[in-house]
Amino acid sequence: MISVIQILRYAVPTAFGAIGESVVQRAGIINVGLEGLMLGSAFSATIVSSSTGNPWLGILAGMVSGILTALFFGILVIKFSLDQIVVGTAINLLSLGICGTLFEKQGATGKLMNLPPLPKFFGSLDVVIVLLVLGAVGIGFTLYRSDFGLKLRAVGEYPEAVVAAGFNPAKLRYQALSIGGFLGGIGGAYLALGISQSFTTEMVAGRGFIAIALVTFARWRPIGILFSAMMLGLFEVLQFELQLNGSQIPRSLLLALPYVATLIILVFVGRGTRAPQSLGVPFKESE
Amino acid sequence: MIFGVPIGEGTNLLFEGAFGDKVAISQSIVRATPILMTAIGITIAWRAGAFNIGGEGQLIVGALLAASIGKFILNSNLGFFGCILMMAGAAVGGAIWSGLAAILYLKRGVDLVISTILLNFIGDKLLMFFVEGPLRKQGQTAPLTDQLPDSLMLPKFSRQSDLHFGIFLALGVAIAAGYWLYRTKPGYFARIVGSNTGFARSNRIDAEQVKFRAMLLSGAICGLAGGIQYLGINGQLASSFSQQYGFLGIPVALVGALNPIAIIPSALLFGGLFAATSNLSRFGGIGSYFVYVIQAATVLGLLLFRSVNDRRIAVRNEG
Repeated sequence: MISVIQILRYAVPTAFGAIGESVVQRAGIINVGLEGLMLGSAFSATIVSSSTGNPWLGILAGMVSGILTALFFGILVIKFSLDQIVVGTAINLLSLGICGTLFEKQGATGKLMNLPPLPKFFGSLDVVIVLLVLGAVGIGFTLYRSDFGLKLRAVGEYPEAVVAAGFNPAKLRYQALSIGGFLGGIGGAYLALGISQSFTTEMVAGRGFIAIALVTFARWRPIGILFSAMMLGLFEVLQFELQLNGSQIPRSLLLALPYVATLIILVFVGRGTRAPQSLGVPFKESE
Repeated sequence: MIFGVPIGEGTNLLFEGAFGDKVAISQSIVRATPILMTAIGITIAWRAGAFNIGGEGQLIVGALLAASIGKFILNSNLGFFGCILMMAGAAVGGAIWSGLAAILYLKRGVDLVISTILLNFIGDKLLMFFVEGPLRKQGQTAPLTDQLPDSLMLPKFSRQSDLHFGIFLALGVAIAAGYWLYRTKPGYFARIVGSNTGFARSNRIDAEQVKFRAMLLSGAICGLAGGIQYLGINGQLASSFSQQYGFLGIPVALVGALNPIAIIPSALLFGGLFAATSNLSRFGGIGSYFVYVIQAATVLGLLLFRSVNDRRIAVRNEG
């Protein structure tokens, strides 16, 4: 039997990543480095939780790592106006390189392969899953019903207007990135602590990219993102169930399922979506 | 000390690995060959404003189609003609994979960045499926395809090194791409569409069609990269066939300022970094992942340098 909690568990990393990315994109920035950001957070969470024995400190380390990665990305694309796709790709590479190198140095010892679990209640529920549901509602409210959200969205549409209103577009974009890094960091940390309780360098496996696809699919709405991430979570659970039950379908094709599903979803959404006007365009204040 | 390796000794090992002797130099060129090819593919698409991130998937599917043809002609006497046939297959395979993304973009408006990234993962799993299933060598326990005989592979220059004919093919494609981009009408249209879609439209250039064709060409070239690697070095496929050559095409293309000729030294630099870090990992006790740190740092460093420099020029012109 597949339960909703089981589906939610697999939805957590992608959903947190995507909700964070929706905030970032609403402010006019596309962070393709999310994949690497999540890997960095998963690794930080692994190291900290295995050396302290405390999963919460691991989650905290994931958040901090996520924020720092996002701000590093931010400095390059905001302060220096470098191309966002290029910097994102480079950060994915950099993160893989750093985590891979440090992980190989550590050696795949038993300690890193057996991380302390998050405490569970009511069977298999844990705090992060609850946080996800609350977070989706909270971020949705902040983005679309608060003053701060209005400013963020304005930066993504027409930053000149934000300047005219007396606010600072760069500062708002840094704030959006910090929120995105914070949420993506939780997602990455949960991948290591909540799902596999171990670390491998391939563990993010495209979830960062899938998260970016979900943002478009759910039209930048956090609640929509939560539901679409759950749909993909269902595919993931299904894939494991089929493997466990000795299905005749080859493992490789089952592994391809979430990616194919995401692509099919995008085909159905088609052109209907409208991205923020200034998405991916660096803002340069005219002197 | 970086990652536990003394800097002085590390730099020495790096330099020797890339340019220390004949073997090192040929190793750098061997590593540069597929990256040069994917970088040209990426350049063609990006110059036309089609952000193809799917070089990796196109390379894999290209090699996959070449290997499928290889299974049929394994025991034939086709010789060099068979090699050409498989190369053509590789180009078609790559073009099919990029064409898929291009059609989804044209018909349904699916963003190319996202679809090509997803197709990378799907291509990777497809390779796994074929290597473990239909293409697996008979009676083989390890998931590997048949080993091609030397007669069907790209010719090598000497027995001592891996250096193969593919580098000339890649250089040829670089020059051809440069000619296409700067000296032909379709190349000119592609550049216009990439730099100013509005202007292109007002001049009745069908921007979407231009992007579509650029994607096909881009995929074909990335597919060729897979063919070169398969027919020049490996001669058989495993599920770990690609070493991120498709992804690396992007930074290489950008460091080469999206100019097919300037990409040549850029690819050699990255190939050299590969050769250098594999030397470092052999003797310096540092893992194989370190190359990505150096490559990412190179890209970011160069872009930063360019950006700061541009700014300085802008300030000087104003003052």
